[in-house]
Parts: sequence; C-alpha cells; structure tokens
Amino acid sequence: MSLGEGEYLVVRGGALALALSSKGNMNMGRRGYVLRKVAGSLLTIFIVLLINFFLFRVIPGDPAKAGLKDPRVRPEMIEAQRIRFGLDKPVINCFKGQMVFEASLCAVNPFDTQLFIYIGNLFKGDLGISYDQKRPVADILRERIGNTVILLLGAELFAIILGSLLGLVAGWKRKTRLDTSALIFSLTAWSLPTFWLGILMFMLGSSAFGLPVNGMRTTGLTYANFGEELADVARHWLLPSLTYAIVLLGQYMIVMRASVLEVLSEDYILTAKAKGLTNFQILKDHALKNAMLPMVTLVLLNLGFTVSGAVELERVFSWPGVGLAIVEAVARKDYPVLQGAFLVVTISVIFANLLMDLLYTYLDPRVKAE
Amino acid sequence: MKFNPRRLGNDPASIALDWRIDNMSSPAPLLEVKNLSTHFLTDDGVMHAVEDVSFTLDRGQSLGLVGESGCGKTTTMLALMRLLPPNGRIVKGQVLLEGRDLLRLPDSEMQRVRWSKISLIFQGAMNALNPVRTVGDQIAESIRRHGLVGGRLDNHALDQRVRQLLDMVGIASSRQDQYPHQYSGGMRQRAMIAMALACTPDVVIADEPTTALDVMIQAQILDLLQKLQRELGLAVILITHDLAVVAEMCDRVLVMYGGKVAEYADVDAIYNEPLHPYTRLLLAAFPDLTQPEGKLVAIPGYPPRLHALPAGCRFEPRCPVRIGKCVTADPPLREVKPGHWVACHLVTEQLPIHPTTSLP
Amino acid sequence: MNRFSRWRGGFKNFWRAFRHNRLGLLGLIMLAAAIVIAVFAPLIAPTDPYARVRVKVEDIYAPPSAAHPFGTDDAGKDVLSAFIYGSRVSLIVGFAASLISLFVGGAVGLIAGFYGGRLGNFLMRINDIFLVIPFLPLAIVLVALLGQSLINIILVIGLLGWSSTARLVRSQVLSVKERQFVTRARAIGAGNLHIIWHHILPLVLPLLLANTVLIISLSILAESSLAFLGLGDPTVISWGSMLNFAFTRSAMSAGAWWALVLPGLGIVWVVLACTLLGNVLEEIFNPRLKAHHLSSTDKMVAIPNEIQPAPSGK
Repeated sequence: MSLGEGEYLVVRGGALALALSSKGNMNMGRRGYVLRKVAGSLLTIFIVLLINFFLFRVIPGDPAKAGLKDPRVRPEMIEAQRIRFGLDKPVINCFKGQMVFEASLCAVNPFDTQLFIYIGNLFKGDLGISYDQKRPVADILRERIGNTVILLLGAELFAIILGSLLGLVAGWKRKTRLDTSALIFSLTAWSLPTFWLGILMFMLGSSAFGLPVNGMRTTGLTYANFGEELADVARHWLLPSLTYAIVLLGQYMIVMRASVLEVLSEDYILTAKAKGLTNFQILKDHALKNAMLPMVTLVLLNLGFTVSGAVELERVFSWPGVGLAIVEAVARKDYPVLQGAFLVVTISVIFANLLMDLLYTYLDPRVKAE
Repeated sequence: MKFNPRRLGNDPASIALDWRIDNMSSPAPLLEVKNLSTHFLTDDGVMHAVEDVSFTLDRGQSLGLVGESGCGKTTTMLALMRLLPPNGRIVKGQVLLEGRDLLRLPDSEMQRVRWSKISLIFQGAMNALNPVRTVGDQIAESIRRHGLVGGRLDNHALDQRVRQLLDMVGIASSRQDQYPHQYSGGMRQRAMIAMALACTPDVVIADEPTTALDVMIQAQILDLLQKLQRELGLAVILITHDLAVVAEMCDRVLVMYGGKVAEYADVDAIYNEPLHPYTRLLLAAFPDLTQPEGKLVAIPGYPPRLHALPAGCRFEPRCPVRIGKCVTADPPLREVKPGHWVACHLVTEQLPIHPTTSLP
Repeated sequence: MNRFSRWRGGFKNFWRAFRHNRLGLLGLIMLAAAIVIAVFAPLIAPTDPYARVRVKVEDIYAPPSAAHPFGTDDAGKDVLSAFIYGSRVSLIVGFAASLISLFVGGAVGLIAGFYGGRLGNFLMRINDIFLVIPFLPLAIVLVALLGQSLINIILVIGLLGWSSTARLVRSQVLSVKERQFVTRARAIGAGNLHIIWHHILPLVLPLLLANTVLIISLSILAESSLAFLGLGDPTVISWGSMLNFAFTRSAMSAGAWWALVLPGLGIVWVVLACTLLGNVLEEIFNPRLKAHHLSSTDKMVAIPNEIQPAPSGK
C-alpha cells in the first residue's frame, strides 16, 4: 500500500455513509440523481482546472515564464509559447503575471486574459509544448495513457475478484486460523510501500525467473507478428502488474472481510438460514451481493490511490505510462508536461468516480427511482 | 392419550413425561417438545435461558406462547429450529416432529426440514428481508430450494405460485418485482407471512407478528393469520405478550416465566381459571375496558437474572402467595387437571394430581 | 459528574480492553521500539551517516561484514547507521503531518457537522474535491513548485490528508448531535461550546484517535514515496531517500540487496505497527459482534451422554 488509503478510512468509518448519503436523494428519481452527480463532477473538474492554472502561475518561480530562461527552449518556441498562452497578457482581471495586483488591468476584457486563453486552449486539446521533447504535451500523454491503463486494469480486476472471494471466506470463517492468517497477510500487504514491493519483485523476478524488468518491450527487438509482440509485452507486464495486484489484494481483502462481517450479522441472513438454505447458498445469494456494495464504493474512492501507485511502479519498472511521464517531467523540470499530466490524471479520476457512482445506482436498489 | 408423570431419579425439579400414544383413538400430535433446555455461553457466565419446556401441538391447533420480554419465548422457538446464535447450546430435550427428533438430525437434514415443515415469521420484519433482492425473488427462493415446483425449475409455475401467495396475504401480485424498502411496514409483515407459507409447512411460528405495527394493521394481520390457519389447516405457535390476541386466536396457551413453563392449558382454562399466580397477575394487569375506573395492577419487581438463578421458584421474589417451600424448591410442572399443567407449589399442594384416563 | 470524570472512566475501560488484544500490544511495542531508535540514534548508530568520509571503490556496496552488519551503500557509507538515522525523518514527518491533518480535519469536520448549513455544505464540497484529486500527482506538483524542504513536505502531506478525517469527524458529529442527551442538554440551557466539550468530543475523540493512527502510517508512506521519487529533502537521510539512491545507483545489478531491503523493512515495520494499533483501536471503539449468523454451529446441540448428530458435509 502506499498513498491515498485515507480513502480506506472513509470506507471504514463511513464510506457506507457516502453511499447512504446518496440514498437521501431517493425521492429525486434516477434522472435527478444522475444530473446532480454529473453537475457535481463538472464543477469539480472546473475547480481542478482553476487549481492547475493558478498553481503554475502563483507559485514563485513562475514556471510559465521559466521556459523563457530554459536553454532548451529556442526563440521560435518562446514566441509561439507567448502567443499561444498570451504570456504578456494579464493573468485574470486586475492581476498580471505572478498575481501581482494592478488596478489598471481590472477593466480588461475578461476573455483576453491568460486564464481564459488557457481554458480555451484546453478545449482545443492544447496542453502546451514539452520543453524537453519539443512536441505537444497532448501527444505525449496520448501515447502513454494507454500503457498505464493496461498496467492497472489487469491488476485491478485480479485484485477485485480474488480479494472479494478471499474476503468473503475470511469473514465467513471468522476467528478461525484461516481468517487470522488472511488478516495478517492483508495487513502486511497493506503496510508495504508499493515501490518497495516493486523493488523486491524486481530483484526476485529478474534473478530467479529471468523476467524482464525494464519498460514495456525489449529494446531493439523486431516482431514477426502481433502474437510475438503481445508475448513480449506480456512478459514485461507480468512483474509490475503482479506487484500492484498484491498491494491491492491486501486492501480489498480487508474491506471485503469487514463488509462481510457486517452483512452476516444482519437479520435477513437469519431469515435465509431459517428458510433452510445451505451456508453456500446463503453466501452466494445473499451475502455476496450486499457485501460487494462497499467494495464498489472503495474501488471508486481508491482511484486516486491507484494512480499514485502507478506512478511509483512505472518508475521502478520504467513502464512508459503517464506516471513515468510525471516523474520524468519533475526530474527534467519539464513543467508543461507536469501540468498537463496532472490535469489529465485528475480529470480521468473524476470521470471514473462519476462512472462508478452511476454504476452504484444500478447495484443498490435503494438508490433507484421510485 | 394416556400420560403418566414419573419422577426421574431423585431430582424433584425434573419430570419426564411419558407419552403413550393411543393411535386408535386419536392422531399423533404433530409436534412434541419435551424438556427442551437451552444455555447461552456469555462473558458473564452461563445463562440458563430456557429450562424444561414441554408442550405438544396437534395439526390445525394454535398455541399461544405468552410471557414477559426475556422469558425465553423466542429462544425456545429458535432452539426448536436449531437457529440459536453460536454461543447457544441445547443441553437437554427432544423436539419430535411427526415422531422424528429434530435435535438429532444431521445439519443437512435439518436444513431440509426448515421452512418445508416448520417456518418462522420473525419479530420485526423490517430487516428480515434482503434489501437488494426483490420480494418475489426471495419468496421464490424458498420454493426453489425445497424443490416444490415440479421436479425441475418451472419458471412459470414458480411465478404463479408466488402470485398466489401474495394474493393470499392481500398484496398486489404486480409488487413481486419490488424491493422491501418499497413496501410499507404492514406490507412487509404480510410478505413475510406469504414467504413463511411458501412451502406449505405444517407448523408456522409467528414471533410477535404485530408488535411493531399500529393497531389497525395489527387487526388485519391477525385476521389474516386466523383465516389462513383455518383454510390451510396450519398449526400455529403464536408468540406474544398481548393476552387479548391469545384469547382471540389460540386453542391452548403456554405461559412462560424466567425460562420455564409456568402454566400450560386450554385457552378457556387460562382465562376462566388461571392457576399460577403469575398468570393471574398477568390477566389482572390487563386493563379492563368495562371497568375504566379500576386501578392498574402492575407486577412488582424485576424478571430474574438468568446468570444467577435462585434455587427455588423463579417467580418467588415477586409472588404474592409464596410459601416457605417456594424459596428452596423449584416447583415441577404438574398436570393438576386434565390438560391443565401448572408449576406452583401452592397449587399442587391444594389440588391433588389427577392422572387422566381420557382424552382432554 | 465533574468535567473530566467522563473522560477518565472511559480511559480506564479503554485500557482494559486494549490490554487483552495481542495484536494491538504488538503494534504498540513495535512503534515504541521505532521511537526509541529514532530518539537515541546518535547513541545507537555505529557511525555518523552525515559525516563526510573518504571511501575507496571497494567500499561501495560492500556486503555485510563485521564492520558493517548491513553492508555499505552507494556512497560507501554504513547502511545500518543511515537506517537508524533515517528513522528520525520518517517518524518526524509522519507525526508532524498527521498532527496537521488531525487539527485541520478535525476542525473542519466538527464545524461542518455541528453548525451544518451553507458553511457545512461548502466545507464538504471542498473536502470532496480533495478526496478526488489523486494524492501523489498533486503532492509532486506542489513539492516541485514549492521546493524540496522538510517543512514543505510536512505541509504538503498534512494538508492533503485532512479530508478523510474531516469526513469521519463530520459523520460522527452528525450522529451524536441527533442523540437524545444533546437535545436534553440544550433543553436545560447548555450552550454550544459546553455541548461540544462535554458531549460531542468524548464520543468523537476515540474514532478520531483511531483515524489519526492510520493517518500517521499513511503520512510515513507518503514521505517515503516522495523521497523515493526524488522529491525528498536532499539534506536529510530518510528511508525513502536511501531507497532512491540505491535504486538509481544500480543496487539491483550490483546485487546489493542489503541496501534495498533494510530501509524498506523499516518502513514496513513502522507502518505495520501503526496499522495494528489502528486496527485494535477500531475494534475497541467500533466493536463488532463477536459472531455472525453463519458462525460455526457444530456445537449447538450439546446434549451430554449422547451421540451427537453428524454435522453435514464433513
């Protein structure tokens, strides 16, 4: 585990409250609920845009202008940058560069300020030009985002499925040796820094199993067909993905177990028992679905963490994803890439949150329209 | 039916009821509970929740189980179906359903008996239904489990059956695809009743089916239960602390106190000739509509703590007519009149035991 | 009842419950050991990792030996000493950052929960935004822009960790606020502050405590992650920075597992300690029923001198 497990605490302490708080809108009907959630997400995105914009303008060292002093940046680029981002224009009304107040700027046309130029550019898909690679940030990120998804998707699916099953069994067999060992395993997995587990897997995987540990493909290799390429990528994918799966597994198991313990104490389980259903039937038809609901909430809340873990893992295994782009951008002071990547990542998380939220309404009938 | 009370060993507190069934003169009782005793293992020690509870239930008969909160009514019923919580232990007794002792069945057998032979309507059905599954689905589940729809799962027949059940309890069959939270409290209780009848059990146990509902709905539910009982020939055990309900609905009454049987008799006998002091106080405590100026009688004191039970009668501390023996000796359950059993020293000393030779 | 008696009685009960939980005691001991090592680092460490030394080539990544029980690192210095000193940074950042989260989150949660209304909604909106933004990217951006100093790192971690605490505190305050004794206290004229201090806080603090312990573990992990990514304070040694150096300077290909395993173990040790503590606190303050409906009932029918019914499926 690494960062963002605060979200887990929300689950423990009241993520059910999060889910339940959406219950309060039962009377609004599905449509009203969806609209409300979408509007909320859009608002959040807008605020993130603002944060992103101001962060890079307000902090001393004005990175937007830093490019001007960066030796890698050639005069043509500087000029293009100036035009594109209106760097000589006021930041917003009343404030010029570095958020210095200047009253004469208050009457300026608001759309002619850096802020709106920035937003306008975003809508056009323009995230700036990388200082280091001298090409559009958007292109760089577009290439990389798929790789990150490939890395994460497999691990998430694996961890969700296995974590749910193990958590279910652990909760069912409470106070038995099976449960205790499962608990110890998941608590330990939880306490491992993602990058450190990556390092361990790195050492183990390369020395004991000869698995590749760098990047996504073997350099300099040409492939005869797609199958070969797939195999090569798969071999590279194995270690980082497995690392991540273990980290997530620990987490999901703990939550599922907690959820199962709650569910199995509910009255309707006793009813199911009274109906003469076997333990297996009760677990499958009653406990599982109810216990999975907090899991959905957790995965939703966990997306922030998911990204953080990706950053670390991509660094350890040099996996060419968005996470590595961020790390490289920091090391090389390539601020456009940093800013663009942060934005892309955050917006993706917000969207994924929204999707999960809506998915939840399909799973929990209490949230549905009357 | 002949019965010969016998003493077992030197223990005055236990009586083995020896039932000799005369098959020619009467059908065997559907359910016979003999000396059922239950303990709970808690952090504070062993709780003697239920001791030596015995009763019988014939087909189509209804038994009212009456007593204060905590006297062991629900525990007895849970023990009967082997649904006690994990710290519960059944330490003595037999539960004979059609002659078969349920307590000695393997788990898998017991699972087959549950719901198909005996079903249970829980107290407070608010949470007894799974909130993420439709009501119809949950009813159908029990039918499917006990394989009662043809040999194979015939969806159409299943659907028909669910509709029929909901219809019986007065719920529109279109509601079967709704979720429990979309039902009102009374409707949920009725749905529970429908579900309890789904597998045409022989015995239905209704645990305070009306406690959480308002008076109008109460009447509805009780009428419904009575109607169903008559039409389907169900045997019903009705747990309640409302004596008026018992008077209306039940054939026989089992009064429990402190985990033991205080009195067990026909409903008429209980109301017209209550013998046990507790029963008499219960009846007296019930406000009489014809005497609006009468004083409310309350039973002073508190129910016994089940961890530290006295050696003598459990009701003794609160009993208005206790005698010396009551402190030292726990009164055994004796049949003092035909079909009328009481556990009270005062009563049994005044009335000699009547072994009967004829049917009650 | 005087002002502190409610608190004191609660503490006695708490200690009683805590004593019996083995995992919790283990966590406490582990954490105490780490704190002791950190505090007495100069006395325990064989060498001073901050001192400048001349090293020979063969000293780099030297395997464990008598002189260096855990070998040497990429700069030829003693790994064990660096490890001992490194505990200081990790613990300091962990505790300091979590204090910030505690106070900010606690205050926000209390205000939002108790006073509610527009202010409460607004605060929760902000909270939602912080919850949604992924931690590490934002932390990276902030540290990159603000500069890599210990203070900055503590601030960044602390200010990004308050959201879960706030949410927890708020929901607890909301549930306590509605309880009868609060209404009664108001009825006899108790003011807001009095209610908060006497009624709400005693019920909120336990959960807050459990939450804080976990926030500490998260903060330690956050610091190590930032340090590993090269964003730590370059003037101090932390476990994360040790791993960063080892990783970037090819400890793997040099086979210098000692430089990679030990610092990580340190992190796991402390985080696990906090997790265990948090777990036991959670169990004490939020006790779950000891058994559920599907717990084993093999022993239910326990009639002595009888052949027990055969449990099915065995």
